[in-house]
Amino acid sequence: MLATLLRQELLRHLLTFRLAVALAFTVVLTALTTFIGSLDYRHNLAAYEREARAVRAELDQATVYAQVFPRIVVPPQPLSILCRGIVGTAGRTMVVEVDRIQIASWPLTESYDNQLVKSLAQIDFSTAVALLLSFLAVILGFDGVSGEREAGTLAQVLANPVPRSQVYLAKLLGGSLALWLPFAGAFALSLLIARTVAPVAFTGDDWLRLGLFFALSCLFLSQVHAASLLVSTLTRSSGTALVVCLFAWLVGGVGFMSALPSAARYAVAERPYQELEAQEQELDESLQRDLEAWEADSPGPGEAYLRGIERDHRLRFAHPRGYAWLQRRHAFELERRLALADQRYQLRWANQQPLARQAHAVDDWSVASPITNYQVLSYRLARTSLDDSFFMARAGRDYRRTYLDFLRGRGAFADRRWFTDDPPDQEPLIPDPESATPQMLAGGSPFMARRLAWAQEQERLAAADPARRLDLADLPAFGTRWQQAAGATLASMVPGILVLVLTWAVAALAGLRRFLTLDPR
Amino acid sequence: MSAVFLLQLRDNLGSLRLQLSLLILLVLFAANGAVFSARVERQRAETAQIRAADDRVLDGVGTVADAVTPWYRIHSAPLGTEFIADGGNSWTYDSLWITPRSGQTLWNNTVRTTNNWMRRFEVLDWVLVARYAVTFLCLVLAYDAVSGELESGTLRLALACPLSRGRFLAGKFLAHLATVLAATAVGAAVSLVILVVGGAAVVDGALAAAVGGFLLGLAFLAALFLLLAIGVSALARSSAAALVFLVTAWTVLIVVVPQSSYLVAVCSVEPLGPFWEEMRSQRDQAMESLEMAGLTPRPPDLAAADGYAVERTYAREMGRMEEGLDRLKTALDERIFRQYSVARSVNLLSPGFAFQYGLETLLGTGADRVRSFFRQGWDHRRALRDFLRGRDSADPASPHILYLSDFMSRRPLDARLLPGFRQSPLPADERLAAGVVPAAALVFEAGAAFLFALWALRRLDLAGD
Repeated sequence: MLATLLRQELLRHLLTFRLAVALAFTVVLTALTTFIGSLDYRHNLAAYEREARAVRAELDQATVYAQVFPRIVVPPQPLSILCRGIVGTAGRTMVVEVDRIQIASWPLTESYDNQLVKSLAQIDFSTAVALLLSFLAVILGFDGVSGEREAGTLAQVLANPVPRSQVYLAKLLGGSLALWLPFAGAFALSLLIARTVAPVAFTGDDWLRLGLFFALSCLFLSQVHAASLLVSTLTRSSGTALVVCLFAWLVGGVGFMSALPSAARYAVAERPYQELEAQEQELDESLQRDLEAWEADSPGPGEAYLRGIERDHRLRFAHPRGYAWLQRRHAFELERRLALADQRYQLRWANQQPLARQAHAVDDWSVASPITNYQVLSYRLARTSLDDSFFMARAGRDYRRTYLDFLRGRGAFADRRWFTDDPPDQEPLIPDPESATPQMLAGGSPFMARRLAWAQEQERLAAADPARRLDLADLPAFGTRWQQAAGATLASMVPGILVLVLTWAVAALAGLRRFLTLDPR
Repeated sequence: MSAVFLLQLRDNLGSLRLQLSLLILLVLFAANGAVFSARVERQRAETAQIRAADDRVLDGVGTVADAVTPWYRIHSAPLGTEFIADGGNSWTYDSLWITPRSGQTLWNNTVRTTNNWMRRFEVLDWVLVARYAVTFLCLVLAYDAVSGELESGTLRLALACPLSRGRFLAGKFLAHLATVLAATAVGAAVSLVILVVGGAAVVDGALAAAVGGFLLGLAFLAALFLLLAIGVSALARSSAAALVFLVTAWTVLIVVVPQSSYLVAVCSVEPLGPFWEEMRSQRDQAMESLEMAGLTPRPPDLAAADGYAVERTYAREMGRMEEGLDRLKTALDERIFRQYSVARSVNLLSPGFAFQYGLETLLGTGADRVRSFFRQGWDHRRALRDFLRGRDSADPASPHILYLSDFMSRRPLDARLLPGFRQSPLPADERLAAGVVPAAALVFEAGAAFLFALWALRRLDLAGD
C-alpha cells in the first residue's frame, strides 16, 4: 500500500511544470558553479606548485641563515570546488620567521589582494543547493496537504481503508525522493565536471567526505521539505501556507545570511587596531633601548671595521674584528627578539581574538537557520571552514618551533654564519682600517671606487661558488598533519548535525500528529 | 482605475503577506540602526586614537630637516551616510602613508580595525535590505496579481467593466508600489530614529536628500520587480508556477549575478601580480647600483668641501628611482580600479546593484571616493614638498638638496604649520557623470519590465480559459 501511495506522490511531483523550471535552473547553476570552481582550482593548484618550487629554489640558494625563509605552502582543498567556504579554492601560505609568531595563514593567490573586489561573495555548489534546491523543497511541500484539502482529493484518499500515517509517510518520502533523484543527477554531473576540467584527484578520504556531503545535502532537503509539509498541515489554504513558507525561506536563508554577520561584528567588543600599533611601537622602542645599552657596554671597533657590502640580508667583506663584534651583538639581539616574539604574539592575539570570536560567532549561530547550518556543515566537510584555517595556523606555529629547535641544534643563533658567509681568511673591503681616513671612506673617493670594483669581482666569484651554499638537507619538512582528519571534522559537525536531525524529526512527527487528527474537509 | 487601486490597497493592508513583510522589514531596519549606532561609536573612539598616533609623529619634528624624513598618514573619513549605502567603507583603503623624502612612493593602508575573516560578508545597510527583502516582498505581493484573480474568477468580472487592461495594470501596480514604499519608509524611519537617538546620525539637509534619493531609486527597483511579477503572473498557468519562476528569476538576478562578477573580474583583467615584490626589487637594484657607483651621501662636513657634487647626483638618481616607483604604484591602483569596474559592470545586470551604485554616486561614496582620495594623496605629497622647499629656500645656510634630510635647512619648524590634509568630497559634476550609467541601467531595466508586463497582460486570453 505504501509503495502505491509513494509512487503516486512521486509522479505528482515529478510531472509538474514548477519542478521542471526550478530543476533546469538548478542543474545549470550547479554545473556552472562547479565549472567555475574547477577552473579556479586548476589555476590555484598551478600557483601552489610554482610557489612550492620557488620556496625550494630559495632554500637551495641561501648562503646565510638570515636568508632562510622556510615559508609553508599547502595546496588547495579538492572539495573546495564544491564548497568554497572561507578558505576558497586557493592554497594557503604561512610565513615562518624567527622573531614573529603568525596568527593566521594567507591565501596563496596573487601576492596582493584587491580589497575592492575581494568583498564580493562568490557562489559555489553548496550555495546553489542551499538556496535554489531548498526553495524547490519548499515548493514541493507547501501544498502537500492544504492543496489536496482545497481540491477535495484529500477526503477521497482518506476515505479508503488506508492508515493515515502511511499517507503522510508517503508524502514525506515522495517529496524527499523527488528532491534526491534530481540532486543526485546534479551531483554526479558536478563530479564529472570537476574530474575533467580541473584534473582533481580525490583520495579515499575525499571520497568519504563527498559521500557524507551527499548524505548531508539529502538530509537538508528532506528537512526543509518536512518543515514545509508541516506548515501545509497547519494552514487551511495553500495560499497562506505558501506565504508563510516563503517568508520563512527568505528569513532563514538570505535574511539570516545578511543580518547575522553584521550583528556578530558588533555583538563582540573589539580592541582598536591603533592600540596594537601603539603597543608594538613600545616594544620596538624597548628593543632599541636594550641594543643601545648593550652597545654602550661593548662599543664597536669603528665604522671602517664594519664596512662591507650588504645585500639580501647578508654582509660580506667586513673586517674580522668587525665580524667578531657583530657576532656578539647579533647573538644578543636574536635572543632579545625571540623573547619579544612571544610578547608580540600575546599582544597581537589579544587584539585579534575578539575578531576571531566574531567570525566564529557567525559559524556558531548558523545553526539557527537550516540553510546557513547546511552551508557551514558543508564547509567543514570540505575543510574550507574557519576552524580549518585556524587548525593549519596552529600547525604552522608548531612548525616554527621545530624550525627554531633545528637552528638552535646547529648553534646558528650565535654563529656569524647567520649574517655572513665569508670564510675566516676573507680579505676585507677595508684591509687596513686604522689608516683609513673619512675622506678615503666617503662616497665617490678614488680609494672606495677601487675597493668597490674589487668587491664586485669578489661577489661575482662567490656567486659561482657552490661551496658557499648553506647545507639545509636536514631541515625538517612541514609534514602532512596540517589538515583535520575525518574523525575530527565529524566531531566538529556534531552540534550542527544534531540540530539538523532533531528539527527534521520534530517537523516530521509534528506534521504526522497533526495529520492524524486532521479534518479532511 | 482608482477603484482598482483602492481595492488592491485595502486588500494589501489586510493581508498576511504585508503584515509579515512589515515585520521582517522592521526587524531588519532596526538591526541596521543598532549595528550602525555601535559602528559610529567605535569609529569615534578609533578616530581619537588615530589622531593621537599622528600627533606623536609630529612631535618628533623640530626642524625643516626633521620634517622631511617621517612617514605621515592621511585618512579618508567616513561620510556619515554609511548606514544608507556603505560603499565598501568597511573594506577599502582608508589611509595612505606619505613621505616627502626622495626615493619613496605612497603606500595604501587600512587603518581602522577590520576583520579579515569576515571579508566575504556584506554589511547590513539600507541598500542591502532593499536589494534582498524589498525586492522579494514585491514578488510576494504581486505574484498572484493576475493569476490569483484568474483562479478565483474575479478577473473576468473586473475586465467586464469598461476598464482597459492598461488601466487595470496601472491600478494594481500603483497600489502595490504605494504599499511597498510605505512599508520601507516606515522601516527607514525606525532606523533613523534609532540612529538619531544613539547619536550616530544628524538630521540635516544632506541626510534628507540622501533619504529622498534612496526612496526614489527604491521606487524604480520596486516598480521593476512588481511589473515583473505582474507580467509573469499573467503568463503563468497557476499562481504557484508563477511564484516558482519569479523566485528563480529573483535568485538569479539578485544572488547569482553579483556572486559571479568577482570571478569575471578576476578572469578578465590581468592579475594584480607581485607589485610589492616588483617595487622592492626595483628599489634594491637602484640602491645597489648607486652604492657600486660610489654614489652614497657623505658626512656633511666632507660633502661641503666640494659643493655637494656627489649628493646632488645622488638626489637626482633618487628622484628618478622615485618616478619609477610612482609609476608602478599608479599602475597598481589603476589595475585595482579596472578589476573593480569590470565586476561593477557585470553587477549592473542585477537591478539591485544598479540601484546600489546609483545611490553610492549620489552619496559620493564607493570606489570613486577611494580613487579621488588617492589622487588627493599625490596632491598632498606635492603640497608638503612645496611647503618644505619654500622653508628650505628661505635659509641661506642650507645646501638645498631636495629632499634629503641631512642636506636641508636646520631652522626650527613648528610641526603644526605643516599643511594638514582635508579630504574634499567628490565634486558634484563628477558624481553626476558617474551616476548616469547605473541610473540609466536601472531605468532601462524598469522600462523593460514595464513593457514585459504590458505585453503579458495583452497576451492574456480570457476567453479560452
